[in-house]
Amino acid sequence: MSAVVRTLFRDPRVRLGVLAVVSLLAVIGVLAFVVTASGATPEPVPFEETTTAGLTAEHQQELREAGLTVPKVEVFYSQYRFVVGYRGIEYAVTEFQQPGHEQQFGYPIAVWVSDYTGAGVELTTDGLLASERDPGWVRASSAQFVVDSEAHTPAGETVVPFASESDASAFAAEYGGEVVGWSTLQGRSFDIDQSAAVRDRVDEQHAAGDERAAAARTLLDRDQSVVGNDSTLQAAIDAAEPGSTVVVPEGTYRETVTVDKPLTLRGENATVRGDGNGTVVEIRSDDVAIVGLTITGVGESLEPDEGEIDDDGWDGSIDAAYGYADAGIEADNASGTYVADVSIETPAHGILLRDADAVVEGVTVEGTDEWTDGFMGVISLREPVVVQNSTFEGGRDGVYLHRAHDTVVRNNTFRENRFGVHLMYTSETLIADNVARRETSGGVMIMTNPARNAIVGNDIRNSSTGISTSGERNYVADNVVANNGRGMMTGSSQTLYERNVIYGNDLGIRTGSIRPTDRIVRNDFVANDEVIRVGGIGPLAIWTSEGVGNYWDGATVRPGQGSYSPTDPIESRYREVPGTVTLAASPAASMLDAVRDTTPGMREGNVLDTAPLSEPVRPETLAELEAETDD
Amino acid sequence: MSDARQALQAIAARELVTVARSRASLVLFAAVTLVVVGVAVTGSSDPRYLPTTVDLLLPLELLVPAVAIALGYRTIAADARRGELDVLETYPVSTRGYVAGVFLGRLVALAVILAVPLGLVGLVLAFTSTDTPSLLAAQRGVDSPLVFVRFAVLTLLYALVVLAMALAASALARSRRSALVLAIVVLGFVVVGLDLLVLRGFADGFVGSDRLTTVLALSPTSAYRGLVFETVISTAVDTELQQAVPLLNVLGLFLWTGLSFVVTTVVLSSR
Repeated sequence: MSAVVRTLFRDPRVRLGVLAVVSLLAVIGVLAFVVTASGATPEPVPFEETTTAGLTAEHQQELREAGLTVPKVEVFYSQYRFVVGYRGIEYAVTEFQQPGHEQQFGYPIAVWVSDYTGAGVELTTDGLLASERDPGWVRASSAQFVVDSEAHTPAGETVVPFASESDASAFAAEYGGEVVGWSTLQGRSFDIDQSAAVRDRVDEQHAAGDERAAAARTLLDRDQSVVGNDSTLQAAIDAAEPGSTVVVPEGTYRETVTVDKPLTLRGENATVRGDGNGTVVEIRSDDVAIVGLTITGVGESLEPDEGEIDDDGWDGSIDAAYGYADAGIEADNASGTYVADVSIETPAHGILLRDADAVVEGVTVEGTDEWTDGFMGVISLREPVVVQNSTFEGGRDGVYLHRAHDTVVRNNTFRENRFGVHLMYTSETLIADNVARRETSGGVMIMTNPARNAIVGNDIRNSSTGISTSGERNYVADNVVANNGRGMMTGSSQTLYERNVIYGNDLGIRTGSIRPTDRIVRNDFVANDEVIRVGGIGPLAIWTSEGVGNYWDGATVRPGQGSYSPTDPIESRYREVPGTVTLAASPAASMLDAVRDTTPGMREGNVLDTAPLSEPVRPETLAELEAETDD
Repeated sequence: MSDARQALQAIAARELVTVARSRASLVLFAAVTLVVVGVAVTGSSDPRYLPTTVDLLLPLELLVPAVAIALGYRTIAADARRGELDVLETYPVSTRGYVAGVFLGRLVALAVILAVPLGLVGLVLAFTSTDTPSLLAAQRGVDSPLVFVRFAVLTLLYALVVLAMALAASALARSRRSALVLAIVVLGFVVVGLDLLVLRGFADGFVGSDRLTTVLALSPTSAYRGLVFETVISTAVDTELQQAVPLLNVLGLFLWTGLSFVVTTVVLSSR
């Protein structure tokens, strides 16, 4: 063989060939350092194809219906595989400023913003943006931004970008504000509440709930009406003076009633029994209180009567689906409704509040055995309510909220519903200290990407799913989710999860965030069969913030465990498979572990805690849970 | 063609043939391939160039010196022991020519042993689809084959330096056993020794904050690592602080190579 090599080497053609190959490789090697790595700037993509953030789904729907526009941003990050689209430039700027954001996504390699130059943009009387033509795209670095003008989105102030400086100046001249460049804009702070602000607002919301309840209870102080003894309840109502109390003596009243003036109906062991058709008590006036009644005989209809509905608008279908079913009590277009100490047995809704703000307390609603047969315990469409100290058993959803922002749902008990509390297009709501057991589908469900909801101190067990989140900038804290099929499903962004106890669930958390921007710290993960499962197509998420992670019972098995991945095939099984710790401590595994939090945006969907806690955050709660499970 | 060049080529070819004929080097080649491809496949489950580079960096910092030393530590010592050096003295070959020839031959072998597995990983990455079935617009970020090519080039440069050091150790060795001992010393020196000195020096204040990048350039391993950070990984991270001065690091690497040549040549000349 050596002879062959020698002969080959003597052949000038072979020598030339070898020289050519070596030179080519050398040139490529040198060129690799001369050419810039980033390559060409990516071009904008259709906005529907981006992973979106910013305005809530409700506000998007409102703008779409009115044919209005919101300035958009597309960001291409150095480490993140999807293009992120923000509705509202202020949201992109605010997100860039969040701690840990750059570690997770890298830096923006290209930023495109809407270009309203020549789009014929003007403001409506509400300050919303209308444009004659769809805006194009311009690079953020060469755009001019009008800030502090009268321009708004439904959520607040907004920034309007133009490619042309003169168009920007003209807009500012007409609607106020000043024109700034991209780098100045990035240094500005906007009035967008983050999850920490939602946390700080919890006490305020509790206090506001107390105030609303106290205000509603003043309806108990009305003077008693004098009504004849032999009349029906409806006759008594008709005869009563507005602003007075109708005392309903002990007995069963076989009728349905309508209250069309401000009255307080106060039952003393009284039952109103409908005929099994339609709603039993209808409220058609402001400041009506229904207190101390038992209501039965509610109709079974889950659909509106012919011609009954008003299904205008983008959410008309919700009204059609839920807003006109039969109910124990129904308030329509009323304010100051108060329902207390009422017990309702219903095959449809318990209390239906259609455009009616209300306080509901001390109520018991017993729904259907099968959730598919029934409807909601309390449903509010478009108005805030306070629901507290009540019990909801069976039926579909204990409390269903549609665009009922600023609602307080607290200290209630939910049993065997489909969902305990169900939020649709509802933001800024407080769901606190509720107890849910054996829910067919889930304890607290937030859907349709709202914003700034607080889910605090709830205790959900033996249900299909404990808490399911969506939307932005929520606060999920101090909850206990134990012995559920799934403790939590997280589909949120920029949400703070802290001090939750995730105990004894078949699956602790199913996380599906495509864009991992949540902060998940100081939670206890104990005794779950499977701790985390990552669904969807998101990248590696780091569940550590400012050097603080979570408590994982699995991580404590290995002394001196550095970073811990509850989704790692080895580390997640420390507690069940003998030998896993030995394997994980190998140089081979350590070598790979050491670098896995580098370039997380480019890695596959896993969860990594770079600073797991060595002690549980809520040891007493865990001890109680352990004791109960042992019983 | 000049006699010197012809001699150099002949020696280089002889070295190549020696490596190619040895079963041990085939096993070495197989082992390196296994480790490199293994780390790339197990490390980053997502087939992308940059995370794979990050995953491979530490393993290669250890593996490259080991392979370079395995290929080089006995070369000159063996020639000396078998009396081939004495025979070569009767040929018209200068000591420098002999050293360069040996180095070149072994370098080609080393380059093949490292470049083939890295090339394989590159190919796998190039042909593995990262497209996910989704309606979302995807983009590559800063990930590109370019970063991986850079990484491979830097790795070969690092290998070159350690090979030169291994040859110097081999020239210094008087016996098979001392060759082995010296090889282990060089390996320890390169992989941890120098960096430990820097660590200690920085902690104790002997190395000032304004000097750290300069001192790091003097450790081949740190110089290699610094170059990877500055020219490969930094493309994905917007760092405010430089982790290395690339030019200094390249100089540092060439300094060690030159120094090793000088040592080898001087030792052989003074035999």
